[in-house]
Amino acid sequence: MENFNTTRFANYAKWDLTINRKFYRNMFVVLGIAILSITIISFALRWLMFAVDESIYTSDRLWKTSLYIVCAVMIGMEIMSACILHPMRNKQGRITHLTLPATPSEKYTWHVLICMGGTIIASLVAIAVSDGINALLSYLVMGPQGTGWLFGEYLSSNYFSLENIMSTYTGNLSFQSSMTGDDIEAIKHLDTFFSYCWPSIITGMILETGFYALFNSIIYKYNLPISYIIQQVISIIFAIIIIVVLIIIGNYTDTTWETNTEALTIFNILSGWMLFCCIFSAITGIACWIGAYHLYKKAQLTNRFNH
Amino acid sequence: MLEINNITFGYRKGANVLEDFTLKYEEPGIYGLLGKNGTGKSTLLYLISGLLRPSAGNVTYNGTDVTLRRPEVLEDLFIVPEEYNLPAIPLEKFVSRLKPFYPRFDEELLRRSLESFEMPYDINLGSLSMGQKKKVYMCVALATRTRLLLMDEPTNGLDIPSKSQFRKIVAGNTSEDQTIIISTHQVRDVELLLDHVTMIDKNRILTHSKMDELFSEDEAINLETKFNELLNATK
Repeated sequence: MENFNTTRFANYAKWDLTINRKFYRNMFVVLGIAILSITIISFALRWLMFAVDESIYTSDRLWKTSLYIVCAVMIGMEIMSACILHPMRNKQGRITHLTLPATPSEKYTWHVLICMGGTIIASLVAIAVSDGINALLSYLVMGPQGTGWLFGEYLSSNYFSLENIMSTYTGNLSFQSSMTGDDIEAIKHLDTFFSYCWPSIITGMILETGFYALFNSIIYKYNLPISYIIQQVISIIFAIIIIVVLIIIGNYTDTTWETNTEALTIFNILSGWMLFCCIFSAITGIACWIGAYHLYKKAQLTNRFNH
Repeated sequence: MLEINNITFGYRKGANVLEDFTLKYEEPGIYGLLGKNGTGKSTLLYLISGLLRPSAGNVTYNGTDVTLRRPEVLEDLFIVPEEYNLPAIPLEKFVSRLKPFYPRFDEELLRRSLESFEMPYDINLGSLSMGQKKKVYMCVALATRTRLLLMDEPTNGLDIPSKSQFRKIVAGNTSEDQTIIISTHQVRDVELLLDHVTMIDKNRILTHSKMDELFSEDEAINLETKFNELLNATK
């Protein structure tokens, strides 16, 4: 990274926050409202369920709500990574941005920090506020029985709820028998599988945000819908490749899911597959980010994609 | 100081606007960059400011390639494009954020220039008309006191009194070490302001000389006529 000056970096940060104040304010407010809306709608649903039957345990719904919030934050981060070069959307913006006396590394670092870090901070604030409102409303309306903290529930029920999700996907497979059966190997396979959940989410986010940032360095305007379409096309191609590989190599038929022993084999394969995906996502994601910066350094006022 | 070395540039393959084009700005002063529409005047300004990259050749400012966008080059260079938008914030705030990037920024000069345009300092940039924005931006550009100032069609959109004000402001606030390159096709607006003139046509330099070399002492300055003469002579 060439000649990084902290004073100039701070000056650039002040400049950007002043000039693009409206943009950041709008983006973070929309994200906050999305998180708050999910919480309030979830609260209203729990309230309705509680009104029907007070004995209904609300923990599962709380956990699902927090999962939706995590999804909203992830979508927020993807959108913001597609807006890293938002000052360059139009020609006039590009003139001002590219001729402002700061190095490309100072400008790009700031935009990555504000768009990625800012989204995380805005999300955490929105989550804290929403969770406080959720707990307060729950306590006031449903009493101590109906009160619960969204992220407390998320952290405590994460492991087993993921198990439930997987059992839904795998149809006839009985996780319960795997977990409580004599076969210790079953637990070992599940542990290995679940230990990749967080790394795969994190590396997946590096790849997703890197992909959007890369497209933002190629196309400055309307890059979000274009990169979304391209991402979906790539995902479909990958999914087809995976299905073909599974059919050819794994002898994938409905009957293989019916016995516990086969299920263990599948989880063993899935764990290996997830490890591969984590490494692939991390490497490709970092490559996308490096490519995005490289293209930004070579940015011009007009080119084939930007007029 | 500013060297344009054998540059080739085109927006599309096979349609070069400039080809093997060379030009040197060796001494400070106010330069006029004149030419017909589509001859590459604005393109040349963007190439000088490093906003465009030539497919061949290079542009150097004090020996540094401008496409590297080094801060030491950028803090000595300012471009006023033909059209621009200013953020909807008070001018004072805009200036306070811009000032740290330009070591020679002169706020007093900015106030004086704005006064000459009969504009107050305490204005919100979002409430200005296009012409007013242009005046403010040109005043800010002059106040940066960069040694290289590029102006693309600066008099476009200005009313008649403002055009003469513009000439007075530029003439009265240019320091001896500054090079101002004004690209325009409205030659009448700036011809009395210029020390040097560069006329280009279809990748050819018709002239790149001092005004007093181009016009004899007893000859009335008329760049339009001179341009047509040179154009016909080189056909």
